[in-house]
Order: sequence, then C-alpha cells, then structure tokens
Amino acid sequence: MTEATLVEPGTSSMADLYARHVPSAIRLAYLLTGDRQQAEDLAHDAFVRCVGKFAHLRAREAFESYLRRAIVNLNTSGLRRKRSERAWLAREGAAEVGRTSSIPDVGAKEDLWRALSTLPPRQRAALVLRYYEDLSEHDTAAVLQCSLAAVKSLVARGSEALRTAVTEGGIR
Amino acid sequence: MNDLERDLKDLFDRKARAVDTTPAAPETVLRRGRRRQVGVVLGGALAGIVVLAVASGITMSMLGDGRDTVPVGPDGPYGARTAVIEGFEVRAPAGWTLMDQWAMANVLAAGASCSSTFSSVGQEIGGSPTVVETGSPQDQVCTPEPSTLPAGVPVLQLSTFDPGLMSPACDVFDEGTKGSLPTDGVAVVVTAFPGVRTPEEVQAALTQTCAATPDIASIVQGPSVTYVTATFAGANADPALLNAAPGYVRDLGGHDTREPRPGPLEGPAYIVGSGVTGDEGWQVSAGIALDERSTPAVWMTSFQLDGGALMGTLAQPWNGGPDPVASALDVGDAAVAIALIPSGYGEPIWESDEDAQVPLNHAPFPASISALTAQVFDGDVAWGEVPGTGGGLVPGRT
Repeated sequence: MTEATLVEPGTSSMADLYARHVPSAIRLAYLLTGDRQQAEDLAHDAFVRCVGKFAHLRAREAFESYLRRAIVNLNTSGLRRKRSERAWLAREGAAEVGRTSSIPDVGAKEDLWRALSTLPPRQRAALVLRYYEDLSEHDTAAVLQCSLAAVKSLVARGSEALRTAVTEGGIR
Repeated sequence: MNDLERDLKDLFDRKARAVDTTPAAPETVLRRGRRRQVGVVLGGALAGIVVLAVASGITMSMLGDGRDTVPVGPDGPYGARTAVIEGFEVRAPAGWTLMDQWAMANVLAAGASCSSTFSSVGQEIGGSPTVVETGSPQDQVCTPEPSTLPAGVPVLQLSTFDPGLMSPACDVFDEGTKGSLPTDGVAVVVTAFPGVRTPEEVQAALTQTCAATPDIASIVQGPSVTYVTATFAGANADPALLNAAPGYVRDLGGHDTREPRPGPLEGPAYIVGSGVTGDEGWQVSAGIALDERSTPAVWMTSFQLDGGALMGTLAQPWNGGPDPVASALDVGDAAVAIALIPSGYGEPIWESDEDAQVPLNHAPFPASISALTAQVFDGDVAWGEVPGTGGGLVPGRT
C-alpha cells in the first residue's frame, strides 16, 4: 500500500490562476479578434482547455505560455474564425452609420486598427505577438507552431498589407 | 524599429489598456475548468495504463493500424483500430465493431462522485477514498466517493456484428433481459463485477445476462473489482473467428485498484479510428455525450507513448445545424482533426492555414446512436492527421 498524499488546489487555486493570467489573456485575445466579447470567450475557452491539461505543472510560469498558445490556436481555427468574422461583421455593419471622424492622429490609428481586421488571422497574430507581447521571432514561431522563416514572412506580409491599406486609404 | 512598427506598438498598448478586465473568475468558467480537469484525470488513468504497457514490454507499435497482422473480419464501416479501454488493449480487425461501454459503469454506479481536482501520488486501499494513480508526471489524483459497481457491467465489446450501443451481448441495462447475438455472430466481451468472484459465480452471472453460454477466457482479480473476458458465439459462427477473438483483447494490468469514475464528457461509444503521430498515440470515438441532451458526439484522446503522460482530450458534439462541425487537437508534431459531416456534404477535406489540403478518413456515424438521442445525426464521422490545429474543413463541398 502506498500512502496517499492528497493536496487539493481546489477552486481557490483555479481562481488564483485565473486572476493571475486571464485578464492579460483577454487583452491579447482582444488584439487578435478586435471584439471584446469574443476576446473574453476566447480567453475563457483557452483557460478551461489549459487548466485541464496544465494546472498541475510544477513550473507554474509555463502556464502563461501555454495559455498564449491556446488563445492563438483557438483564434486561428477555422470554425472559431468563422464565428468571429460573422460577429464582427454584424457589429461593424451596425456601427458604420454612427462613425465620425476623429482627430487626425487617433483617426490614423483607427485606420490602422481597421486595417488589422482585414489581415489573415496568422498575420495578425504574428504582429500582435511581436509588437504587443514583445516576443522574439523564435518565441513567436513557437506560439504559432511554424518556422522562423514563416514568422518573418507573416510579419513582412502583414506589415506590407497594413502599410498599403493605410497609405492608400482603402480601409472601410 | 520603423514608423509602422512604432505605430502598431502604440496602437496595441492603447487598445489593450482600454480593455476593462476583472481578476475575479466567473463561476461558470471555474465550473467548466473543474469538469475539464475531471476529464483529464480520466484520460490520465488511460495514460497510466499505457505506462504499464510499456513497462511490461508490450510494444506500443501495436497502436498502429495493425492491418498486416490482424485478419480482416466481416464487412463493416471501420478499418483496423487499436484502443485502450479500462486497462485492456484491444486490436479490432477491420470490419469488426468495437464498443467502449465503460462509461455506462459510471452512469449505473450509485454514489460515484469526483467533483474536484487533486494532485497526488499513490493509492489507498482497504477503504475509501480510492485514489486514481495516473502515472503522469503531474500525478493527478481523483478521490471519488465510494461507489457501487453493478454486477457484470460491460467494459467493452468486440464483435463481428453491430449489436447497437445499448444492446450488447451481455445486457445488464434491462433487468431480466438477455443480450443479443446473431446466429453467425462472434463477440468477445469484458465485463466487471464488484468485489471478489469465483469462476463459478462469474459463469452463473454471465449466463443470466448474456445471449449465449460464455466461454471464459480470463479472470483478472483486483482488490475491489473482478474483470472477466469471455467469448460468445452463435450456432452458425465461423470457428476460426471464435478462436481468434480472445487474442484481440489483452489485459494490460494495473486497472484493478480503480473503481468507476463519472465521465462528464463522454458516454458509451464506438471506437472508429486510431493512430500514432510522432511519439503520441490517439483514438477516436463516436458516441453519446453525457450531457443533459445526450448529444451525438465525436471525441478523441491522445497520450504520449513514451512516458505515458496524457496530452489531450477533445470532444466535438453535434450542433444540429446544416454545416459540419470540426475541431483539431495538437498531437505530436502535427494535429488530429475530428469532425461530424452531415449527409450530402461530400468528402471531408481539411485545409490548413498554409492552404495544404488533407482528406480525412470517414465512415458512417453509427446508426444505433441516433436511436438513443433526442437529436438525430445522419452523416459521417471523420478523423485524420492534419498539419496543425489552424485551418478547418473546406466549406461548401457537396
């Protein structure tokens, strides 16, 4: 017989994990989706997925990177993307009527923000991971599960598309 | 850093700061997390069994499709599969039907409960609680309340015919009803009994609930549960198939200290596919989700072949809509996609984010499931290795 040693992280532990990681995860998800509600759903789905697999990791700091990867993966999966796009289009369509011009700088940034929404999810994710999360190209490749060359390509193509969209004023 | 990169950084920081978040976790999220952890503990138990298999020298290459060594049985929709069910490794020849019925033990067991998550090593016997030893590096442990295992509850059935998910050769679901068996049918069945049972007691019990006289192949006696492997044959059954049947089920040991645990996600199911991707094995099931509506669903489990740690579980229930539903799970260096494809959709093809197109394996979703669920799913179950979780089914194929 082996002596049982039961340790119950229980609800409070999971709540701690949530408090420590999910608020920043929601912000990341928001930058990936551009939609507040979608971001919260995405972060929660990723948290539930990770908490099942990784809540007992001895290296707790690893949870953050698993959560980040889960958010990016979930966001780029086909079905979720379709739902996100549908929700985004519905909201954007409704918001179009009431849109007003802003001060030039903020307006330009808003153009950039709208241009981001036209990028393929993995290009957008690469830009967010590089310039918001400040991940290295190597770490970005790990999150996106692709090669270093692919990250360089995603960032380059995304940047080029943004530059074109903003300079040509083609954002609607 | 150029202007665009600076602008992006400013924009991201400003947008992120504007997102109002609270550190308080919604109860619904915590509840989902707890359910998920319970599911992982169940899967972890499977993974622990895999460790035992490796330790005892059983080659995990058997988790491949095994087509070259397993004879083909009668016509059937599924190819050769290898699965691990409650400590028994089953090599299902192509055309044979393999059912995982162990989840029913959890439904039928009285008082089983596993409501939270634990982190531990070891086991406690001679009373409660029973501790699940997963063998994973995380050493997750679940402590269910004492449960009562119904006598003769089916664990799995491998048969030359499809009896329907709830009409196995040994039927403990309807009192006084015997199971079903075609005259040319052959079945190998694993059943479980609470406590210690003698061969005579087992024989008598099976004779009462099973469709034919059992030929007992093995009895595995644990401290709390007795597992019995038996074969059954109809009057016109092919003797060659009957002789081969017991060899398809291999007791891996290590399961007899555990009792039935509630399965919050997955109910009884057909094992429809399996494979090995990198250093991970995986198996795909089509069955009934144990939710309020008993939804038709496909799910999969993946686990490390070397080390035995559970790598993931993924469930994809049917949503009742006109479009396919699909998900993918990271497995090894790639991913495995599972999907439910409505009839008329055509060949399921997975398109990755890099535009690679991968045809998925597919077969009819077991018809007997729809007879048991409020929602009817009349289509195919699909599965296959894909480059990554990014991507989805090619839309609009007819």
